[in-house]
Amino acid sequence: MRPLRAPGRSPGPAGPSAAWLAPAALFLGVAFLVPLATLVATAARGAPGALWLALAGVWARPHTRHALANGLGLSAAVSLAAIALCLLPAELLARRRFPGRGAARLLLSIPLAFSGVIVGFLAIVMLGRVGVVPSLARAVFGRPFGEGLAYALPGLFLAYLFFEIPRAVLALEAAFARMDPEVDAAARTLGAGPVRRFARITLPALRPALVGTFATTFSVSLGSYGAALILSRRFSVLPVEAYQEFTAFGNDAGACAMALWLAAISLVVSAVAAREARPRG
Amino acid sequence: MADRFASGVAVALLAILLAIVAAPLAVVIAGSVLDPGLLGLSSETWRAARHATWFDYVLSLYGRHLVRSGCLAAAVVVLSFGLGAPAAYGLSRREDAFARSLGALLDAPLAVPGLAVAIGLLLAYPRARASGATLAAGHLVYALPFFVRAARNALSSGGLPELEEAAAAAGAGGLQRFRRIVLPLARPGLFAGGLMAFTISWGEFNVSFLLATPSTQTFPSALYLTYTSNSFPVAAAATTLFLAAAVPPLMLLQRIASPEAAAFGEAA
Repeated sequence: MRPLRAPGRSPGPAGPSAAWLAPAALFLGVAFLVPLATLVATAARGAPGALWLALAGVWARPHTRHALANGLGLSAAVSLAAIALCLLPAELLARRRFPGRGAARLLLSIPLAFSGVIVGFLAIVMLGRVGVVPSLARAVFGRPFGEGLAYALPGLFLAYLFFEIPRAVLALEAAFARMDPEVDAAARTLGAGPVRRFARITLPALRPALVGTFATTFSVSLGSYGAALILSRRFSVLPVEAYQEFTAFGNDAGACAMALWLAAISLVVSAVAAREARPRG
Repeated sequence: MADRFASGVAVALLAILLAIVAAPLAVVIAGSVLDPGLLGLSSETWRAARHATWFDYVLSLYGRHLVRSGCLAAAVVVLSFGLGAPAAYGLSRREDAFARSLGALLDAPLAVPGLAVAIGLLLAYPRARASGATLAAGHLVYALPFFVRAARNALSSGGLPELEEAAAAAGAGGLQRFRRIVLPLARPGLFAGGLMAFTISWGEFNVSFLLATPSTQTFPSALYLTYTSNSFPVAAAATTLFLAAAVPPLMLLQRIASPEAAAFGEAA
């Protein structure tokens, strides 16, 4: 008789050996960990103590500090707005079957394939100096509205929102689909109204997904620079600064320090979110 | 009454989201085929005599980038399969420290900006840039987590341990079990993961813009050139071509059962 093995521990005699994981592990070591280590080494210029100086330098210079603060504020605001806008539609898509549901999901998933530059272009088409919205407004109301908005902060906000919508909708929809509808139905039978059910049942059950969605949309917004490259005139974000520092000024150490700031912030936000999302107890 | 109000709000919000996404796409697609004057958008009436439509003109300008991006995305799909299918198999059966750290390492790139990875790759392997190797590696770093997640989702639903035990008792070796049991079980996930890998590589800009050389430049980088240097109809036609390749994989993903495709939303 074979000895019982603890469930979920070693795969037993008929499971895969660790060698199956080796190719992916080797690749990520070479193509991800080594580059990250190179960033650290380059930012420090070979002296371990200099790393902190280089990182502090990004914060000390008003130019890069503003770019970093801009990106943080913009990313946080866009992520919160995307979640607020997408929460109820995601529930609708997850729980109801209605004609056009597939088409709606497809349409909302299209921006997943977009890079920031395309979104920037779309913002200019809609809200540029001769954009569609100002032109329509002139035709309808007799005076333009939103002219050149694409190049200002509201335009950048809308552009970032555009490509966070699919991420928020799909992630929240998946979370709603995993939820047990029986609890909500029971509360309804007991007479709880929709607002109360939403606050007491849906939101607590959804907390891990909300935190996770915030983390992903925040990271994507913070690190994306295509839209800012196309749109921003006065309003800069740190990835654009890092790109220019690296390509135009050849300041490798400075660019690496900025890249490390961005990577560190995103990694910390993701780690906190992963911790929050873990079931309690 | 209150229930009806809540679902009314949900429907209205959904309509707003759809309008935000659909309106610019409709304008761009219309702009690539219609006279831009109708949209009140273009100041340019020039059209090269040799080119019947704006699409021909875009293809003559950026056709090479289009082909290159397609080949790169195809390569990323193949490499995702080669690295990701064994990894998904190992991760879905093993829970030791190595497996757990690889699982975390696979997801880590999603929290690191593409520009940071690109600068790191460029500084770590300066000579590999010309061949496009670092470019492909950068794409793969971001495609692999989605591929593995989709494959794992498919494997988690199918009674894999029992099937493997039975196959092992009948004398099947590791490779044989992988080929005969794991791959067929994972097929919907592998298919979904491949579509995600293609979509990610096809639209990738954050890594490519820095890592590409003039001879390895991808179509999204070419789009940046169009947006900054060409007129609206040319830019609109180029964007429409981009969409023409991006939308079919997303449509196929929609048709696949949700557990495999859900990975895209959860981690995107």
